[in-house]
Amino acid sequence: MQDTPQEENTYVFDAESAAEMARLIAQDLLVTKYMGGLLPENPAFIGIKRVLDVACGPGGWTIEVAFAHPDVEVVGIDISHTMIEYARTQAKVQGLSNARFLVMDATRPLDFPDDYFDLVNLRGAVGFMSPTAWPNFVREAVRISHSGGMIRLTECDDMGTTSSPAFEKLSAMGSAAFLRAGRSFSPEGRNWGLTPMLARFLREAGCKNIQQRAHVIDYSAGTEAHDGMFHNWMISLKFTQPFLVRMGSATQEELDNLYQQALAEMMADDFSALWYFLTVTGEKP
Amino acid sequence: MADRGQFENWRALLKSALGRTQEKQRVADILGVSSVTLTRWLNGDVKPRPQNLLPLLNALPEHRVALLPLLRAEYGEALDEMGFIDDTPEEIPSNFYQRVFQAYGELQPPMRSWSIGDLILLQALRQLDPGRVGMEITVVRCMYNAQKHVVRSLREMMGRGTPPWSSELQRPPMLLGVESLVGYIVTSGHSVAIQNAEEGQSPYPVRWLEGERSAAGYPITRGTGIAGCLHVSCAQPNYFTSARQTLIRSYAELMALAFEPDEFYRHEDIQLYVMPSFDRQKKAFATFRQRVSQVLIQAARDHIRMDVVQAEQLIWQQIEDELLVSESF
Repeated sequence: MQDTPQEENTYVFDAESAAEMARLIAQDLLVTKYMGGLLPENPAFIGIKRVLDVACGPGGWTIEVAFAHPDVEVVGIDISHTMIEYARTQAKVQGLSNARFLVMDATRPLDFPDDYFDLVNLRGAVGFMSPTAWPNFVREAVRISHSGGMIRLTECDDMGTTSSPAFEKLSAMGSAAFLRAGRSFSPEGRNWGLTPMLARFLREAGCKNIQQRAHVIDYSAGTEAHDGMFHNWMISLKFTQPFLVRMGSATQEELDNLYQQALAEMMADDFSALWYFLTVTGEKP
Repeated sequence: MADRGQFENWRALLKSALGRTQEKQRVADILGVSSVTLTRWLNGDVKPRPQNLLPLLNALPEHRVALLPLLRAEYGEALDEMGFIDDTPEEIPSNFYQRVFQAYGELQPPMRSWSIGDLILLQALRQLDPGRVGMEITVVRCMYNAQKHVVRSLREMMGRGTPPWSSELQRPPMLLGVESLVGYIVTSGHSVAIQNAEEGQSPYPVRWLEGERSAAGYPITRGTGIAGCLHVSCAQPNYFTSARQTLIRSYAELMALAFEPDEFYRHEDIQLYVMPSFDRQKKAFATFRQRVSQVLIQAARDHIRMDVVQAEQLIWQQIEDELLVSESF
């Protein structure tokens, strides 16, 4: 594992960007749907009274849980003031008194008491959580969880597997840049190498009953997810360009050409694509 | 269909109607609650929130007649007013305007249009339908023909919904003309609210979607130019109270930011046609994405900078031409 050089320069996305917020809102809806709902491991939230959603972004998952389960207290935390303010507004306009949102950095000690939550949920932290920060975060998640509480981590290892040559090239560039930025677990930077580590983090933090569940979004041409994922990539491939230039992966002109080609290939009738996720859950003894 | 007289209260009727686990799960999914929450309602452990009652009625149309008086027995006449109960604030939260302007400044076309449009749609949906009674909001845009300098049709640009509609617009691409409600809104430049799909003949050209019980729309304007309209469908009749109509207008005004200045057209340039039937259009649009892809690939080969929206617009116009030419014979 490499040391993380100058983390502030290796953030992939701007946490305070309203445009990134808009992308995350749409992506969140899509991912929750294809993961089989809010908590397919326990759809009725049996035994769950207090939930923490870490890196909640604009609060999509948090608010859905609060709406579906009025008797559950849900807390969302994120480092971004922009996201938290938006999430608070959403909870307010929907009259949800059981959801609250706090600005908090998940890579630092969490400002909650021991043994408090029944479920700590984290999804999609790869953009900000460095390899060295992961074990500390999981230990913190265990500390603030109630005995018998669940820690739930959902991540992916790359941008998916597609039939688009340009998209694949951008994906490979991204993985290699992640390695150079000290953000990858993969020894050679072929992908992000994160999902195989999740169970280990939970085990090392003392969790038992560790379970793994894989999810996939098929966003090939003609599928229901295609449009949503197309727009998601249209924005995020553009937003990752400064990071790739900064990491020396390609020139801006090369990236612009690949971007245009990738979007064209994603529109083709024979475009095929799958995006894999893994959810790993562990129980605090 | 259940007979009201058979049951002591609405819970008993519902227990009978939702006997099968699958059916209970289906209704729970529609209502956006867990099946455990639904069971707790049925057992009388918890009383459903008032905003859940109308979706409950809508989720079980075959039991609606029997269920309604039983619900009224417990909730009183207030139930009848529910369609009119409206604690919707008339204003968009000020910090939301701030976020939209921030995104506007951060983005270039074509991402700006999609990103801002989607942000506004999701906010509008949450504010207009906090209880998830069932709503779909779509942005409809003018199709400007650069050769003929007129707008001859409209198209749905994006949409968001709550059940029974899907969260994202999933309808196949289609051109709309003067025969549609959105056509009327754009041509007249006036807002419309139709409170009940089942009440007599509408003075407006309207084709109701499955599950749609009321509809409203507001033109998207800047100065004297019109870019399209914001259209709202609701699964509940009588939903568009004065406060909600005011809010729709505010969202339509804000939605103008999702359009570029040259996408607003003069009233005299909007000359909508009657567009062909859906079946005819379906054939024409079958190769839409492939055609867009080919245009983009060719542009890249020719070193021409073309974005997705420009390529899509080109193909939309070609298909509009093809449809209108074939329609004239």
